[in-house]
Amino acid sequence: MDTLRLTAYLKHKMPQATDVCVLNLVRIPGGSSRETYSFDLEWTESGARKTRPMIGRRDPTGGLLKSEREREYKVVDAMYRAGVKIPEPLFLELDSAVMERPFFIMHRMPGRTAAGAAAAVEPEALRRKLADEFMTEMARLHQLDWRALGMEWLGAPNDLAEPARTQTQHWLNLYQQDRMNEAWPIIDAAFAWLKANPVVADRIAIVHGDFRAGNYLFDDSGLISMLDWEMTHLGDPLEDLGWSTMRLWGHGSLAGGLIDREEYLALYEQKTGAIVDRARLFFYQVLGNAKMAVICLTGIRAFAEGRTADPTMVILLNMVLPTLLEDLAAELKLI
Amino acid sequence: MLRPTPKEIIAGVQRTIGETLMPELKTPFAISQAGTASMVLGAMAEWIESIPKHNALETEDLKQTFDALRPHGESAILEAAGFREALEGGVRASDEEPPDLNGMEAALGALAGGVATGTIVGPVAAEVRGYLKRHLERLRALFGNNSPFG
Repeated sequence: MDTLRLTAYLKHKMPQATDVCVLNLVRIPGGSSRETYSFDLEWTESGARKTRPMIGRRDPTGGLLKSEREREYKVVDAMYRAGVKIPEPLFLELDSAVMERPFFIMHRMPGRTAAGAAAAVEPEALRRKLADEFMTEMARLHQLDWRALGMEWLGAPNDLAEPARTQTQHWLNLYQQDRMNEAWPIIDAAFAWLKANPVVADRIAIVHGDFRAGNYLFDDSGLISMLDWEMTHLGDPLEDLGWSTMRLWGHGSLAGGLIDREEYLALYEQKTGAIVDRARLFFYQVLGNAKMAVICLTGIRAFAEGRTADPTMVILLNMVLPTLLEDLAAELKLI
Repeated sequence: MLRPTPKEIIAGVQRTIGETLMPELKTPFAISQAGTASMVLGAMAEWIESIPKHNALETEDLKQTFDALRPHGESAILEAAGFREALEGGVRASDEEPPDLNGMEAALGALAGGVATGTIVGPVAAEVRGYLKRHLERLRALFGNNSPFG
């Protein structure tokens, strides 16, 4: 993104504004599935000078996920309107002529992110508060009436057995596509198990798809905003709970680096009023580890084939994949 | 030996990144990418020597695993569970000269699926589990214990 083109774009999108200025435009780390830019917008409106902190998210040339920016924008917009803690989405641009690749712009929230050991070093009182607020947001999301919100376009499952089957097949297809002809025996075994042991949801809910430590902004007063909605879909709410309790995002016995895993699950039960079916949760923990392994392989392939220059993709190979394989092997009693 | 060695060259490029390039970089993203690139180079300096050894150990272990599994090719349990073809494919891949590592891994993956779903049990399952345990230990030795999250 460059300042001149972004300024011209925003002048066009904000006809009521004069003296539009884009300041401090800088690409920031994180969000490997999109290029993320931070900037401040200044403009004059109704005689008053205004400012607003902004984030721009542009499609990458390659990366961890193959996702659709229009879909993500529509999800963020719907969630914002539904009262979920999320930055306000402002503009979506699908025309690649404007800034080389599609992008969207949203309000920039303050705060920091942390997962695993980085979250675990926060003071216990803050960790407990974050766990409570994180679960409040997860429960709020899972209790939203997606039909009333008009979100059938996310792809409503035909029956309660479909979410587990669809997610398994989706990630298996990506695995077969992105493995670069390499065989990964433990991932093969995981998909064999997932196909042989599908679970049936008790209801269909909006599933964030990446609801975990590291994907929310917080400060010393608590949780500010949930991030990264590019994998949102309709499915089994326990998919989010299973994903968020994976060892990869935690630290020792602390789920998400925040509180003890059992306490974490009890908090979800308390917030939703529903008992967590441990067999279904286990299925989604296995699926989560397999899915993350596939995401690693997708990123590694993009790097190997020159579609991204982000060296973080290589780090996935040695820092993330071994943990996932160990967890899958332990979960499936393969060792 | 030709000097500088690959390890020395990589260490030199890491110094270029750390001492020359990074102080000139202005944005957090560029600094983060340079730091990650340097970290990748550091890992690669180790992998240059260890990956060929790792692949050789994997190949030898899989060959021995399929040698041990070979007598079970006629197993009625394996036949009934639909894994006879996978086992025979693995044995064929292990008999190639040099052994077909990818073919053996693919066959082992299919058998591991049988173990995970409980359709393969007994001595075949024990051989598969034994290989997977050694496989994970080798991966950990290759990559180290470096989870970014803890």
